Amino acid sequence: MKIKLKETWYAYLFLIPTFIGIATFAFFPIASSFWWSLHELRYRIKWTGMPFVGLANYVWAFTTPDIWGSLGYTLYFVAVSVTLEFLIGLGMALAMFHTFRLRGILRAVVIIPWAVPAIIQASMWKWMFHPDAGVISDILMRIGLISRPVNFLGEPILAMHSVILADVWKTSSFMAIMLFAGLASIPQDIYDSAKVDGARMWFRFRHITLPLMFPIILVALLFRTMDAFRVFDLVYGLTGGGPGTSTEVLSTFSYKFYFSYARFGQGSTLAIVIFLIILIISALYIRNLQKSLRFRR
Amino acid sequence: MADVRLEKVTKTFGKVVAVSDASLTFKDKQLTTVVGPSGCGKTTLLRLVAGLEIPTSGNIYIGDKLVNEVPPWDRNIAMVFQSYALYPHMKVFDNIAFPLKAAKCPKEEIRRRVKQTAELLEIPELLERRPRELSGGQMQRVAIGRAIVREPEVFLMDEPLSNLDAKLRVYMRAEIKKLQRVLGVTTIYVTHDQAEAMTIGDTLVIMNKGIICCMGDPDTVYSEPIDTFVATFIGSPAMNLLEGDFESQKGLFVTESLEYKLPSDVADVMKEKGLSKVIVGIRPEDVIVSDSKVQGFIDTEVYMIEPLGRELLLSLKLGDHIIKAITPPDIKLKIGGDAWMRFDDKKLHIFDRKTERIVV
Amino acid sequence: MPSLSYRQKRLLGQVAAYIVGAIIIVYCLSPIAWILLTSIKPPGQEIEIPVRYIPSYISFENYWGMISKIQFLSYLRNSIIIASVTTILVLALGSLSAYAISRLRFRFRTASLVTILVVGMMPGIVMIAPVFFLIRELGLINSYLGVIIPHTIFALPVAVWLLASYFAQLPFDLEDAAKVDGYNPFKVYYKIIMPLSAPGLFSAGILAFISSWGEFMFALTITHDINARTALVAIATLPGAFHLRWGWITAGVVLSLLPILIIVLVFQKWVIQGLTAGAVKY
Repeated sequence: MKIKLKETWYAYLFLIPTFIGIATFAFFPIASSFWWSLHELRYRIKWTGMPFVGLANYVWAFTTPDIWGSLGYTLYFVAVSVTLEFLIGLGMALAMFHTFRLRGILRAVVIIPWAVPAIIQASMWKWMFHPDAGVISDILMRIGLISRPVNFLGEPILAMHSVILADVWKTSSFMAIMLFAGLASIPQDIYDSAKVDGARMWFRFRHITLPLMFPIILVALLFRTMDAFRVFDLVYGLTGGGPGTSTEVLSTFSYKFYFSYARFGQGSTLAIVIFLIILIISALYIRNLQKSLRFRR
Repeated sequence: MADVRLEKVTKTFGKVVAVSDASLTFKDKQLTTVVGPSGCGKTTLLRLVAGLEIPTSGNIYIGDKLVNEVPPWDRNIAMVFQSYALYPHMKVFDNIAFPLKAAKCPKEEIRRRVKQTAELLEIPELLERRPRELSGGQMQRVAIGRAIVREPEVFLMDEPLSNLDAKLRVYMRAEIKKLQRVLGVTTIYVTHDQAEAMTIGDTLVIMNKGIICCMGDPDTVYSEPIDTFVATFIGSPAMNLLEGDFESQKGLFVTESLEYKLPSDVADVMKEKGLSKVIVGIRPEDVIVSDSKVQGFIDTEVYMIEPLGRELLLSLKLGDHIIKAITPPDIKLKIGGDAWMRFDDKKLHIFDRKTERIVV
Repeated sequence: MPSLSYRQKRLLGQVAAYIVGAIIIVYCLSPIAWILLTSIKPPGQEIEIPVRYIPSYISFENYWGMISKIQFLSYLRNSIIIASVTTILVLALGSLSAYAISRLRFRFRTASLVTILVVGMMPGIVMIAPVFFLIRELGLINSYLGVIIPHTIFALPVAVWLLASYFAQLPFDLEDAAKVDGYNPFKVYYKIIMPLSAPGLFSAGILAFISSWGEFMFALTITHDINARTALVAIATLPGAFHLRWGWITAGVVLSLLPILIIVLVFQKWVIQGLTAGAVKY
């Protein structure tokens, strides 16, 4: 009994600094945001007080076409981006797996895009998409697909897809790393057995590789979906939400409300909306991880 | 059904020669064991027959078909792995049904055949379970079930019993042999356990360092080993080997600590072949031991006594040699004391460094 | 098309895989190569129409410009300091928490872990404004600490998750041995667990460093000028302010990438271990 008590005290002791930090800089801010979202709060225009408006902000949010537009762009971004990066990542992982000699080099090379911070990536791609001297325009012209340089970031639909391209470049390598780990964890024995049992390549892939990779695919997909919803750095650096509002994802939109328009009430509302979406996805994610959260002892 | 024939098959991995110039035939409907120490190439040989490896040179025939270029899935063979290689994400039923599904069998037929197989192996109640819920022996049966459900031309088994405990292993040996008789399918069984190879096989193939040493039925291989490797590998405890010289005039086998008179017929043949440096081999059970002095027996010191229940394993020290002998348990000896022994002359094996020359 | 033999098909498969491998290498490295190329061009050559690929001579003027006029090295220094301190804090707090969660017995084990993980998944946007005000109240605006604290909080969840998985794999008799000598969890933590956990700590540390180095939103909001601004924020905001040439910007990009790339390449084994920790389970 005594030991158990001691352990408990120590456990609490060890955890307290972390929890203080989390409480102050995570829970409290979220609560504040929620509180603000219930008020009208225009910061810049001389402190006009903070009238409580209840859910009016939320009503505003759900009835403003701009917000729905932003939500739409975000959803589009998430859907296309995650799908592409999964497929490309899978292809990369398969290639990495089947080339024995190149594996070391590929592993090192593949890590690089992931390690590039999002905002740097934004600068990089901004330069590559440059309307006049962008290398992408140039290559396309040399191949003969287009005749004049294209302003990728200046045309609404093009801009969104350029952003997606930049994102996929970075995140497909993350997918590749995770999926490769999944591939490598399947014992070779099982493939041998399947070959002898009469299974051809596609049959093996469908009935053995995919089902056995399913747990890690799920984890990777959920994680990336969550991440894609939160995207901020890339969009901010690449287009700032433009041209117009064609790449205005929820995060950047909300940020503008805070720091451009100083309308904290509305900004908080949007933030809370994002928060709730993420909360749902993360609940799914954690449910999935529950299995590996078993503790011995 | 089908023979499996290898013609000068060689397999190299880079600089390593795993199988060297193997030529042999696995007879139809027979259970042939391939046995040898770890790393001798027996698993590689099996994988070559399976199609999981492609020979560097040579030809492999299944039936009369040249199968060098035929992938494993087209070869109509089945394999049981040492680790069973069951598909962990499928139920037992689906594991056994897998080969049938790959062959696009109709559902009803799959159901029927899987059930039949499960009953044959006495595991029908396990069909809905998953591999991780099964014991070693049960997993093994599922693996075997998966192999036989296809009714292939050849069975390949890669040390299937190595992961089972001793008692289960002995039981399963008999079961597998029975099963093979019933099904009448050509079977190639790989193991490193020579006792297993002897009991289970109709024919033995012994491999060492990638080379096939010899092939024959268990009795012959045991009583007429072709070289010292086979002699010491087969039979436990291993055959005693004594290195020494042959004095042709007196018909003696001489070492530093021993002078042994060889029987005249043996000596004559040795004189004929002009041998001088030889190795004499005698199995422990062919060493005759007495606890009292007998005329013509050699005096040795009892170095170690290991009781094995129904017999005693003795280590007898003679000069530099330690000779192992097996005797009935009622002999009265103690460690450090004397024992008198001689060899059963009818069971001597003479080797000229590598090659067997005279038998018995 | 004649049907291929088994051997030929295998060969074809291998060749295809290697070709894809080559494509992957080009895919991953070409953007960076291009940036590098641009940054070493002499001023004026970076914007040429049509695009010029090979510079007529290699010039480091862009770098010099960034370093002397923009004092880019100071921004780099800020990034390094912030990321390093964050890493140390994360490792300290994270390992304590991970140890408690993975090896001590108490009621709220799972709950604690879940809570910490959830924090790691929160979108920064929902916390940015209140945190901004909070930091301002504390007088930490535009200071190192003001950035270090939020960075630490954000990097903690991943570190705790990683370290908890790692600690959970160490044999449990270690604690039992300590019990004989008078049980003090802190001693166990300090003398036994930590020394054995070098790989786990390494992975967690590197991930924390990368996360802090690459963090943008908070660094942008909390810092104003060269005193504490990180290199990343500088790259994003300075071009507008100074009408910078692309040559200079790309030079800055290369400078900001260099530390992180070196670390990632040298320590890739730990990075990959960290990323896939606990994610592949049967």
